[in-house]
Amino acid sequence: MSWYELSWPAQTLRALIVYGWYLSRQMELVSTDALSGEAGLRLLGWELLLLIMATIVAGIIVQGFFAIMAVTSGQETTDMLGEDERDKLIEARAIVKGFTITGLGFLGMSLALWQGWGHMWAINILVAGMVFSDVTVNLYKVFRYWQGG
Amino acid sequence: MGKGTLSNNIRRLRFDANEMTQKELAEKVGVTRQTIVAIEAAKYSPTLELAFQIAHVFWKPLHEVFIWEPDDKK
Repeated sequence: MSWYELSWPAQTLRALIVYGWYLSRQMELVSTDALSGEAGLRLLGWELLLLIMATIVAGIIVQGFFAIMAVTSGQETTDMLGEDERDKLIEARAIVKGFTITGLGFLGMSLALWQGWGHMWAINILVAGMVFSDVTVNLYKVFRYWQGG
Repeated sequence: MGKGTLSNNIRRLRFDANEMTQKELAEKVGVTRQTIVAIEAAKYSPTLELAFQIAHVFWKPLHEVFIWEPDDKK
């Protein structure tokens, strides 16, 4: 596997680590009842912002490292990185799979709102859907690149 | 019409072309070496444009580089 292809298992790991960290914070906040009421909703908003920022920063670091390795090892050129027709096809197919999981997340959130489970559950189900969509996209790429097709 | 199997002679053509490496071919047609590996192993079917580009590198008509055979061939 090339450096570019190896970036996808790393991205999967990154998504799981960041989400694990977020989840541990959520569990801590739930145990202290800090997420209830209007103040809890505001706190949840900040937690979400933190999750998004951590995801973006960690994603850039991981992708940046593998991009530098791919270019310096001479495997790829900067203008070709991820721009190959096979890479684009795998990316497009992975995104379709990811959207399905995001859709399930939206359905779960709607169910939580409809059942009156509260904002904490509704938002966290949606977040889980988005994170697992990201994981699915990365794992699909890992599988396709490992398969070679 | 049913599905078919796409095979190719790229490995042999590379050998005939002064033992051209996969990396050299990849650079000539503007894809990664991994894509050439996948095409040679018949794990990835290239776009028509890329197929023509590869054939052009070897100065061969498309049907001498890529061979498509229907599965229901008897």
